Amino acid sequence: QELTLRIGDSFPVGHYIPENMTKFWMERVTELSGGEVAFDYYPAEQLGKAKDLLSLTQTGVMDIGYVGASYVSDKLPLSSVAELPENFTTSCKGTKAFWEIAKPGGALDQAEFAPNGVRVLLVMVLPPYQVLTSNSEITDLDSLRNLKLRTTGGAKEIATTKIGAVPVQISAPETRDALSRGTIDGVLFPHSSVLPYDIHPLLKYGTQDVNFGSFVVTYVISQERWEALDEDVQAALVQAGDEAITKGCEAADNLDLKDKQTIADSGVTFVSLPDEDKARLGELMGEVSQQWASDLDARGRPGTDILNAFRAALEKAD
Amino acid sequence: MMQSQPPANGASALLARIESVLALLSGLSLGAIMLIVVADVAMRYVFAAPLSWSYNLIGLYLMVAVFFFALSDTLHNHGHIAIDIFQHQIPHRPRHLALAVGYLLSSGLMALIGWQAWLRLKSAYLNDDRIAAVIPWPTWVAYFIVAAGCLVMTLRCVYRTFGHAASGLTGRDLVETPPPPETEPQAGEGAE
Amino acid sequence: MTIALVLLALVVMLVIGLPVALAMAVSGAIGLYIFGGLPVLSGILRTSPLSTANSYEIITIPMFILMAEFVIISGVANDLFRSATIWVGRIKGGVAMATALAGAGFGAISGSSTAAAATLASTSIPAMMKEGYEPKLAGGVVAISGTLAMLIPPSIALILYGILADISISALLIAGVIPGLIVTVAIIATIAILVWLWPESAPAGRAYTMREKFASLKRVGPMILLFFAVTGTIYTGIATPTEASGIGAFVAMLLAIKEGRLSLPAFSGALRRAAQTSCMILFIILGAHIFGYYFTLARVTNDLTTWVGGLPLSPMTIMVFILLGYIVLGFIMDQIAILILTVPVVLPLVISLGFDPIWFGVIIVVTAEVGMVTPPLGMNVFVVARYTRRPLGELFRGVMPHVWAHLLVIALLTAFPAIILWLPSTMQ
Ligand code: NA
Ligand code: NA
Repeated sequence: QELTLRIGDSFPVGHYIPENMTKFWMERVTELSGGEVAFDYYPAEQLGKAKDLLSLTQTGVMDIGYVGASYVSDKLPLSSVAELPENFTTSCKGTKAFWEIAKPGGALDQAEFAPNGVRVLLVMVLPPYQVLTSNSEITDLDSLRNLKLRTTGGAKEIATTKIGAVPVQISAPETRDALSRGTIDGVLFPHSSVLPYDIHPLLKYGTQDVNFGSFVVTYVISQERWEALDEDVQAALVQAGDEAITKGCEAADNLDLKDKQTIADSGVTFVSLPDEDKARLGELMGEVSQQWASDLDARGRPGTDILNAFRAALEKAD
Repeated sequence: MMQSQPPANGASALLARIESVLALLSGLSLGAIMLIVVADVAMRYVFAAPLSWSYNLIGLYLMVAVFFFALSDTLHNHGHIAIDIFQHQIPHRPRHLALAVGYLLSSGLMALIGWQAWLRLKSAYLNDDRIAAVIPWPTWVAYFIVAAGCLVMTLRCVYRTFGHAASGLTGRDLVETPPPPETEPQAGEGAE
Repeated sequence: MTIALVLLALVVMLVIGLPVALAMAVSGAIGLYIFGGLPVLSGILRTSPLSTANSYEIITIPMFILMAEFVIISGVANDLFRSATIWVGRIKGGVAMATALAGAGFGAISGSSTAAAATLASTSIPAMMKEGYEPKLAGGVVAISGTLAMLIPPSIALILYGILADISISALLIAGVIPGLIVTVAIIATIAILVWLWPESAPAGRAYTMREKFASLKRVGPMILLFFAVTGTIYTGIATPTEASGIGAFVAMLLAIKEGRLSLPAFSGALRRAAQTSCMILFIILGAHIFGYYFTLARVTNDLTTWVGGLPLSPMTIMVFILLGYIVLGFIMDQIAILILTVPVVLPLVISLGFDPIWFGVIIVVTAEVGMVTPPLGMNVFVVARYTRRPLGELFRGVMPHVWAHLLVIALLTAFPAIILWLPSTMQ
């Protein structure tokens, strides 16, 4: 007999994350369960906005939902830990470390996911965000001072302020206009977002090998739904999850390199900051994470504990 | 387009007074959005220092207030578009009784929306949920606006349920209805 | 079975005159309840109402509505019609043609067709009646000219489409300019043909001196200022649509103050009416969302797209059927509700057939204009009926020639998509 699970996310049709991770996972689950499990897939916010998918999964409108940590920062503030500018420059390193703490039984699961009644099935931490500018030449850390940068989310705003730049909030579809008319001097973007928004013709310089923050993708199932599944189905979901997470982050890193090359080919110069600036940046970004953690501590959430757990997992992930 | 609807009775007048207060808040939120957007652009162009709080303040609270605080006032003043062309060709009693059923279902719907907002309000308030931004705005305020707006809207729908039911049963007009689309002199001729 | 029941509930509630938003929300909720019981229904109702409102991008809609309110208070909208009358008054049917020009001009500062029709009706209908125009002709011209507001930027319909389709709102708004001018020309040409066929329907024109002509332009200056504050800044990229909408409302407010017409009651009245109109639109969006989630969960959306995509027809044939479907929907449904209900379903199909999403947005807005003036639900005709105190049947007949002209324009824009796509392609 067949079991059909409803799964939904907010990625546009054809986006690399569902193409490389989610769909692969669904196929593997169907395979591993001997065809017992099938999926009804609802992409592109068909069942609700990105910020609502956690709630829709908790209430059973869908069985499995995409949860972007920064969309639900009110409910899952600690999950943004991997969006901090920490010591990783690839998706796979960040993803492995985050999975270590977010998987059922991990520190983050116990602190946040389990209390919210959900269980993490899939994770991806995007390749770190870089500064990309339209005209201002990037040479060293000081050359980023006073630039108006399109930034999203709390920690990235603090990071932007730390390097002396000005964070500006602009919706993604309006970014291109803002860049072309000089309202902003640049963006804090992952490479994979540059091409879809078609901003590479407007860009001239970009940073590389540094981390100004990232973005956390998870797919969760409600605990209630999970417990109603047969053990062999649960096992299929877990095994397919491990495989899909690895495949997903590798695809993200490959695409990052490929997109970076395309962007470079369109005339963007990628700059490595001088070594002493990198060290200084590391210190500044460390302060961002400390501030994030102590703000949460002050509100009675274990910010420092989770940050330390993530840092420990990063050490191990190499 | 929208006219001011005189209340048909005391219950409606009391509700209308509450609705006016909420509508004032809705209008003020609208005016505030305009001023904040202009100030934001001015600060960005002139001082290179955009307002860091405008985006979230508008998206999280002010737009929510514009919508939910105007909901019931708009219904009372017949501002929510309805197809009023067949309406007057349906005999008085079945039309009012059908509308009573429609508003009964609407009452249930609005109550359910308000109830869900109340549950979120409680949970967000108790957990002190805040968004991650330079100003960590609490989220319960938004849920409060939804719950308050839906409460008044539910009461208005309940009032309409009883009003239409009474109109249908008595054969008289005991509830506010929108002005007919036809004009008086040629009221006989409908649309083809 | 459930789907038929839900559709029946929707139709019944619409016919008895329940607000469109409530009719859609309630029938969608019935469907969700049958589909997944209370958990699914309350799960959707927990999130979608708040999410309908809490977005920054959506402020373009209330801001453009507020701008139109302030413009109407300032009184300069009326001057636009007077100036147009003076310029084309000499031609037979000139005042009717001036109404079309004023409709285009008013469309350039208002995003809402019904607001434009109301303003035009209050100024140009008395003028035409006084000069001896046939009421059928006068009412028809006003009703159709009002629809220009939803095509010429700023357009609430195009903004909504842009938000639904997740494409550049700037490009969409700019794409509406040339089709807007073509429709204006089509309305004027239709009037010329009508007064040629039935000379008794319009009086002879009246000439004005050049001095009167240029003097009349003085009062149009503020409108041009406003047009550049909005469309100009969007085209050049100086402002994003959200910024342009807020600035537009602010400039219109200054204009009303400068004209000495913005008393405190007028100001609070403008805010309240703008809040009510915005609320009406957002409530329809919410109703359509709830209804749409039911359709999505019941897989109607998916099955329909798959079915149409699999038909052995050429893309253009399918497009013709899609546009016919829009025209038929426009007979009975509110235009905003149609957009919100259909775009998420139809757009993926349209893109997969190889059509440009910007082109499609403009085309369905031109199609929606037709719906504004066709019976039984033709909002603009209702508005005109309230001002003219004329029977609806007569007005619907009066607007019919313009409907045919509109269909020709739609055919033209479908045959030559470049007419729509050229201007946005020249943006930076
Ligand atoms: Na317009
Ligand atoms: Na119609």
